[in-house]
Amino acid sequence: MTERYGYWDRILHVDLTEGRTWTESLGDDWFRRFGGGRALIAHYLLTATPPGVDAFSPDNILVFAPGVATGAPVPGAGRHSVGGKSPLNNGYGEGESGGYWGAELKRAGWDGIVVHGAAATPTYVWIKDGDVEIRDGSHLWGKVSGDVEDILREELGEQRCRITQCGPAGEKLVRYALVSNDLNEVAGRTGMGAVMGSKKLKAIAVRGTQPVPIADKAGLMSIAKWVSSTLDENHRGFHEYGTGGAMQGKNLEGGMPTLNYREGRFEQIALVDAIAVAEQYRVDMGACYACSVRCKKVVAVEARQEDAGLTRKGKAINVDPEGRWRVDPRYGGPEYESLAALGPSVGVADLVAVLKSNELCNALGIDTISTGTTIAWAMEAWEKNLLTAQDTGGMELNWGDGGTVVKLIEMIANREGFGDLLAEGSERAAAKVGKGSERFLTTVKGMEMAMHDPRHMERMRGSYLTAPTGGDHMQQHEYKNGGRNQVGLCHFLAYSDQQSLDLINSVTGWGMDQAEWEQVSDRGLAMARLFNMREGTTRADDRLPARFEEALPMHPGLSPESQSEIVTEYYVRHGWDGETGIPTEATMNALGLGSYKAARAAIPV
Amino acid sequence: MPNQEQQTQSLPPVRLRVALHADLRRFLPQGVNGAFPVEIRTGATVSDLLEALGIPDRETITVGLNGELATRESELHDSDDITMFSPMEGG
Repeated sequence: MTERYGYWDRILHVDLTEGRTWTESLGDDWFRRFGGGRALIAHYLLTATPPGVDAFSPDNILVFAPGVATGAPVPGAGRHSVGGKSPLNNGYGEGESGGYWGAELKRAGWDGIVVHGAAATPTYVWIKDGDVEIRDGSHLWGKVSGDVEDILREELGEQRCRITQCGPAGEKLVRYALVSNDLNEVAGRTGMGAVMGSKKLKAIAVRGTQPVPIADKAGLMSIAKWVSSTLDENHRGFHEYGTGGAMQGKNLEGGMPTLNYREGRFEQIALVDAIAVAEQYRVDMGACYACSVRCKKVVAVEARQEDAGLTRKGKAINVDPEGRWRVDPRYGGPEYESLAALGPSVGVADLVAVLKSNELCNALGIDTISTGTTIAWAMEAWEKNLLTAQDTGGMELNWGDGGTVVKLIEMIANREGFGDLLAEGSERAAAKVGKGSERFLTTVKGMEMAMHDPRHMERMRGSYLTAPTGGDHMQQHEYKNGGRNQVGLCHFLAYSDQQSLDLINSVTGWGMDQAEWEQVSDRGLAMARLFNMREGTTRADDRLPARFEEALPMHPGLSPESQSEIVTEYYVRHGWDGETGIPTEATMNALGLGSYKAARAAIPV
Repeated sequence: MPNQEQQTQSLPPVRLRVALHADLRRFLPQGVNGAFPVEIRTGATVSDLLEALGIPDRETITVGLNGELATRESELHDSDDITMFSPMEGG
């Protein structure tokens, strides 16, 4: 038997239509060439779904995809991806998450889960090491994530099990519903929670007791020690504030997405940044699996003075000065994207409203970026009288009204009233409203762009234009972050290229070099591109919305020509056709992707 | 007649308040958490201040001077408020 390190060569398949499960071996070669993550998702999208599959059809799949590094005892290795065909961008869908669930799945002896079909009634899946059960989940349906976690831990008698789930918004097929795990970690983007809901799969609970085998434990330990012993030099900002500690800097540079990307500065930025959060409402910093950086904010707010007290660790919990909301620390706290999307993007300078909005998005299960951005689109349409009280059921959608944002989040997650329109995402909502409201869109391939203005940040241009998911800011269109995605390694860890390689080789014993590592990422990117093109994506979709042709006070607009140059250069650099972006046959052969040629042949001409 | 450099050196130093954020907080003086006072020679620029604080001058560092974006050449004056940020993304 081959010695295996970092993976088990065991993929769990769950068919909810037929109520059966089985195990698949992809072979040792597969893991070395693809790593997991994005490539695992794309592999099954290309081989197990029919062309043109509807995102909500039982023929769509939902893939939970850690990578070969996930679950290794080293900082950053707590990541996994969740993917399938996206109901938001109608193509390749993927969100990534941290926390503990992915590592627990690996420790249960699995390298991924592929969910097929759809259950007739709500279900959940319980995995305890090698034992897998599909169980009735009717009692969980409609419940917020915190309640689901409590019920499942009680009923399974496993307080240490880790749970991933879709919220009520996923059940209601909100197109940007998220999949959360450990309550405060989310695979937020591209609507994978809605795919989960469409399959009537409420949750997957996992308990694993087998350490992931590691080839070179001493080598891995030295990397872990480097992170903890150089925390001050390399991760001080993350450790103290999480993300969002430099929002004032972005604002100074005129690049803070403000009022639906119309402006680049938000005057009250210091009221809603991570520094304000830390000073007023943060009660702790949380961590992901095996990570000493601990970059996850935990916030708490009480609505009434008489409830204000101390956390278990003795930290004072402050009160909403207006006595409106309690914010539950179980749901973590807002990171940069959430602070920006639910703050400056909608003109809100009311920090407690931002914290409440973030908590509701987590508990109900919607992506904060798409949520804030869709509301920002609606607010601009309201301002221009393209949406009226008749459309909104009497609600006013004024910039800066945090109470309205909180209310809208509940309405979106429940598809209630006007929230039903916004639950479709801004691009579909604009198509329905028409009247020129399309010019306020900030979407790429149907997905709302993240909170980094490409007019300000040059390196975001390529990310938004060419990321397989659409308006994605994580620069996963290039080998560094793309590769990390495939092996389950956090982008925030300041590992050099050499350290990343050392980490992967310490885990797996493969002895990969940089060129081989870059090919791993290239395969995932080419496969995601093939899937997008099979589903109808063309070069015309690799563009920024018209808003970004407009100049900001400190940054010029981006012409379609300049965007086109970036796209062509990217295609050519990746060995894709310079005109169409189809991975060339030579590239397919060089990457060893011959088994996916059927998908290439299925690309509509 | 003293030359210009000698004149500058004989002037009293300018007093600034400096706040370091994100990863730059590792350059905070020991025991300091918020903004702190700095004295620097008259005529000093943002670039000089970075050097005086021992902060390697990476172009990604953003510097605010009394609430506006400063350049490395911006001259510092008495009572100026300086904020410095390293970039952070994602989340």
